[in-house]
Amino acid sequence: MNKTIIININGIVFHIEEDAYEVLRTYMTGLKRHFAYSADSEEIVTDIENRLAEMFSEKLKQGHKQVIIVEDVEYVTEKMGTVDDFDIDDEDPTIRLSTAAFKTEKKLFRDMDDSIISGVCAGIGHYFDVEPKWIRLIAIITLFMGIGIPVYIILWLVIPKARTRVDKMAMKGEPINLQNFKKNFDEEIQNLKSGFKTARKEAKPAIHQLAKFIGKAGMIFVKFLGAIIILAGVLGLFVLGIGLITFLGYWNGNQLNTFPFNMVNPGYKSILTLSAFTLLFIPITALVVFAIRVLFAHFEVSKAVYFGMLIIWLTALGIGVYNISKIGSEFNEEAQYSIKSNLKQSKTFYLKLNPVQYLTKEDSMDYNIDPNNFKGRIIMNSRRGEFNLPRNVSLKIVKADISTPILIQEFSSKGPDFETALSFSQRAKHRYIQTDSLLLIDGNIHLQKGELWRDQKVHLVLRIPVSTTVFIEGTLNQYLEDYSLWDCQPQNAKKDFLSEWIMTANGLKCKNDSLYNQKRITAEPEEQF
Amino acid sequence: MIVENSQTQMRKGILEYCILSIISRGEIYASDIISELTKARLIVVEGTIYPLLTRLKNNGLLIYNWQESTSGPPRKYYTLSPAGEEVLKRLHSTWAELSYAVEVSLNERIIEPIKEKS
Repeated sequence: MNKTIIININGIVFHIEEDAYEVLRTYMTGLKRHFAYSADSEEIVTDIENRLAEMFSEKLKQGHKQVIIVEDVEYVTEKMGTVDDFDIDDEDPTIRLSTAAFKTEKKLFRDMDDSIISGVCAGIGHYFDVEPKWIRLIAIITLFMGIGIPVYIILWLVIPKARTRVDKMAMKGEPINLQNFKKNFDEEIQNLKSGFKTARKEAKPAIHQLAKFIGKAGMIFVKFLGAIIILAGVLGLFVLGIGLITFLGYWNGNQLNTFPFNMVNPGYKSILTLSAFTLLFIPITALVVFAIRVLFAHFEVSKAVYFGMLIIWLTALGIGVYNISKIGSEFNEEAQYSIKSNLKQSKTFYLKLNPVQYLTKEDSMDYNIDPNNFKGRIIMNSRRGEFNLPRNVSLKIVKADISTPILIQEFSSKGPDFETALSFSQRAKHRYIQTDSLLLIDGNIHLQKGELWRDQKVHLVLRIPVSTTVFIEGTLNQYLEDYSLWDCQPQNAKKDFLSEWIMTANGLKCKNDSLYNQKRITAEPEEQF
Repeated sequence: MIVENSQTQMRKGILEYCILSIISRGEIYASDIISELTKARLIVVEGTIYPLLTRLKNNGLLIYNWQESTSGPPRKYYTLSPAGEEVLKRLHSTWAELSYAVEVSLNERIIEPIKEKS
């Protein structure tokens, strides 16, 4: 006993067995697909349908029967010929091209007919022409390595199920044409007949239950993750918005004067802030939108939105880079400006880093340091402004040709042109204090309030007469050029150790050179034994 | 490749010529054209002819009439249009030229087509 279906071919009614119907339908689909690219598609297909109907009528009359069976369909389609036979008439080369492209394209689907959990491995196997068992083996190995589960869940979500026959054929990389349609269909029928698939399904109910459970758990996990991303993203956008307003206010109000913010000219501040803000804002928004889309399947976002966001992001990036390079051009020229001062004569000098990180009231006024906020009060260890610049003081000690010791402060600065650079270097201040033989040197250059940072530096040249003794504090080591204080002090010396140097005709010499050198020499053989 | 291509080209041209010639004999139904062509060993399956007929018709070389049939849907009976007659005439002379050219080229050796078992 077989189920029959009633079909209507251009007005003629036929009874057809279900199997035969499937074969016929596949054949017609293939035909329509084949002629879809030609202009007369409909007429050709109708002609063929009419002829098929006629042949069926003849068949039924000959056999004195009422129902079309698979053999009839096979006879008729054989007479009519397959899609490949029609190719003789392919005039338009594009038709061939398009069918060829149709054939070779292999797509990644989950194979539900050969699945253990969700057909991911089988699908990947088809895609790479590897037997699924090897993919499964890799999956199990990675499972134990810990990365397998999230990767599997992602693949499960991302790869679509092979639903239609076309999907399945694309998955296996079979050319989508009539023969394969038929073959594919026959295989399916075969599988159904032998009960192969159902038997297999019954054999692994536990696994399927587990798969369902994992699927649900995975969805819950993904939704949870998505919710967190959305919440965090929205919060982040909110904070970013407030931050933008505060930052703009602060910066434009000259409250934010630390390095590297003091590098930016006032004219560029707003635009740089805005582009930096956009550069952060867009990805977070995109992430939130994406998470919403994943969570709520019905929430559709057109590609134009993503594309627009990308364009805005790139624009912001471009503006940012452009402005930064403009600021970079402010560093084109360099200018120097020197102040030469005579020091009080002394047989011995004590060179120290000014340990006090505060300035007196007078100095505060003198150097224009925060005059508004602090009203001339003493500033202790200001963390803002001038003190946080990159290293900008260097010290060189050389022989003086005259009997007077001299300190030369060579200020240098960068700028867009020489004049500007020069005025920058003139506005920079550096302070030293001489009290008899003690010379205190500031470790930093001082810039006026609101001054732009243009790599202002001071190079100190201390010229002292021959045979003058100099005690140099260990903290000055990082500022000192040409000499290393480590060479003139015992091992494990404290930071404020005063190493003793003397100026000779050939430059500065460590006074107890032999002592420290000997120590080192005697120390070395010990290490060797 | 080249051989295959020229074979296809030759077959294609001659197929059209033959179809027009068959139709020129009088009103004829598509599947009868096919039996003629099969007899001439030019075509094997029916499907091939429908796209061809449709194209010839759309180019104005053929016209058709619907005729009721006892065994199924109404049939299309094709005849040549005046334009089709004109084309066929030209094809006749082209064919005469071609067959002369081939004959001369072959130097009167006659090649028998391979006979199929029937």
